[in-house]
Amino acid sequence: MKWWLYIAVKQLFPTGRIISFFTLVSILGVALGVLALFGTQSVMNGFHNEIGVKLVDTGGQITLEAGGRVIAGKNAEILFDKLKNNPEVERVEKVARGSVMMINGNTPAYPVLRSYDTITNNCALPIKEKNFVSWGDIDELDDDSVILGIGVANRIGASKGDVVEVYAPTMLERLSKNEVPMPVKLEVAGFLNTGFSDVDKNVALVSLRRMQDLYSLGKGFHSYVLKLKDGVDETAFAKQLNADVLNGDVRAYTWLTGNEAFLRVIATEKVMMSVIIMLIIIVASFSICSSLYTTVLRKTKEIGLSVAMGARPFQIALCYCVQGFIIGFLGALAGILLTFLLLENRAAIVEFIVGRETLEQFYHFSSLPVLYDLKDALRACLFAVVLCTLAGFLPALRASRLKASEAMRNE
Amino acid sequence: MSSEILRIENLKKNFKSPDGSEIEVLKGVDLSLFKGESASLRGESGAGKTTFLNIAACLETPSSGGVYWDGLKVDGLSNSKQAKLRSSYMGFVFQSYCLVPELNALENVLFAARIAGNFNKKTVSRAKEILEKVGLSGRMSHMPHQMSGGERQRVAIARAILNRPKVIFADEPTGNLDENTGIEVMDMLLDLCEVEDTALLLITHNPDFARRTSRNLVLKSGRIVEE
Ligand SMILES: Nc1ncnc2c1ncn2[C@@H]1O[C@H](COP(=O)(O)OP(=O)(O)O)[C@@H](O)[C@H]1O
Ligand SMILES: [Mg+2]
Repeated sequence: MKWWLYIAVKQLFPTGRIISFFTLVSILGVALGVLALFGTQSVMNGFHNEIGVKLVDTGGQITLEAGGRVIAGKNAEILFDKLKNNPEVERVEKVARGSVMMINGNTPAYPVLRSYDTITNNCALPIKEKNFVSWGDIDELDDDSVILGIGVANRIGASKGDVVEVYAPTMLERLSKNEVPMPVKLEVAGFLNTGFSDVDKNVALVSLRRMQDLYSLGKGFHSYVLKLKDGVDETAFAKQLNADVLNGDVRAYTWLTGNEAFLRVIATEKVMMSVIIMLIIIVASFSICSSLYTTVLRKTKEIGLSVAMGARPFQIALCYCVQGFIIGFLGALAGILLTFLLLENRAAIVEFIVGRETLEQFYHFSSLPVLYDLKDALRACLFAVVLCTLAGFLPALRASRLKASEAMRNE
Repeated sequence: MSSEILRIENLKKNFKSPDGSEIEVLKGVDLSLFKGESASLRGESGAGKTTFLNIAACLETPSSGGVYWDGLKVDGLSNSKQAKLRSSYMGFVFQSYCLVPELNALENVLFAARIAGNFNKKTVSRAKEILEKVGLSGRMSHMPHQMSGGERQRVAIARAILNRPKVIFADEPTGNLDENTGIEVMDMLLDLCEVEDTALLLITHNPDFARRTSRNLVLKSGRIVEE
């Protein structure tokens, strides 16, 4: 072993003691910084992943639209079959959707109606699998009923079995012909409760036929919504679809591009949080720097003697840089382990702190979604290691510049 | 006929004082040191003894004059060659023991071998032997803070001699020790140098110690004279 590496290790882990106080505190400082960084990132990843799942569950993975125009006719059916037979596609759904005015008693709401194909029960969203319908069942939906988003129902005070009146924009045509538009009466068959409030507050489900009728679409619809098989890269799939299968009329886009602005805000949030938390690691490295610097001053004579014994300045510099590196490396490692330990036992930890009774109140923490990203961990470690090594640099420079002839002068 | 290890020729050293004027510390020093001999160097405080030692050990550059080791002029050599020279030719003992506090006695002795790049089984057993010779056989795994000043200085002596240097420079090695301990340590140092056939340049204030070396030198007004 090179002597400078040996001395670096020994100064951190002296003979006869497991670890020096300085080493312990420094490693802990770095570990806490890495814990804060990687822990926050993992929780945010968890939230983002959850939001992503919600977006896909309620909006679909891939949507094909004709720029807002109605899709109908023979070509529409051919495309539908083509999509259905694509080996990467699990399900295809024809979807019609549009805003309506809905009145229950005297209270109006303006939800978006989304179609559900009650004939084929073919749906690209996991409405059944994830039990999105409460107080009823999606199978109970027919042409004369509606499943209200739970938020919509609350706003207009509708309960199961109530009959709501629906006015579609197409009825305005009748008005211009001096006819009186008659609302469509639909019975509430259940409530849509996806847990994604954007949807639950604004959407209601009706049968595809009812939607086509309300919007005078004939056999037409507004979009194809696809669910792909597991593991298929949605972005690549959409790109390939646009290039090879679709003509210019109908375009495919993924939920990622559909929600681009929203997702970008979320990503920016994570970056900003990380930058702020990185300050902790920077502070830790500052204190390592000053401690190592003090060590160098304290060891003036020792360093002078090692020069007299034949040590070279760059070796002395390496000795202190390596100490910074070792602290950074071990601190990062400990930080990652600490993160796993804390997040994997988050429910138990919260219960230990607040007791079982109060646990319910902290439900949100104990059920925090967590998603580890190897890249986050590596980045946090790299950041800590680089910073700590840099922290050793200044003391190293000082130590290597030491003049042995002056250091060794008696008093 | 004994062979010459170190020769110093007409060595001069000036220091710049803070007000800009030059102080002449060494004004033409000549000295030869031969294999295995011991020499003491006395002189008033501030006479330039440590400066002389630093220049002889290539830790400082002379203003003029030459330093020769085994006949080779070394004061102009590259830093890495000078470092190599120090690790193989010289051992150092200072007033402050300069032990590494994180290493035990044996590890401190072996530190010299590690720097010189010859740490191996042989040097480990040699280090143990030397520690036994200086009377520390039972204290090899003691840490510096668990030892007395005299014991620490004996560890430092063992460290200085481990690499079989040709010369040991000892700059007031008993300066921090009480009288009796000083005598013990000095006995140890002189014995060991004799047994190992290592030359010794001993800087000391103590005339009793000075008398025990074969040559007695005095640094006075910038020159070394033999007594
Ligand atoms: N770097 C320096 N700059 C200026 N003067 C110095 C320097 N180093 C030593 N001196 C001076 O050189 C003289 C000799 O010092 P030193 O060799 O330490 O004496 P000794 O070891 O004999 O007591 C002293 O007067 C000291 O002030
Ligand atoms: Mg001196």
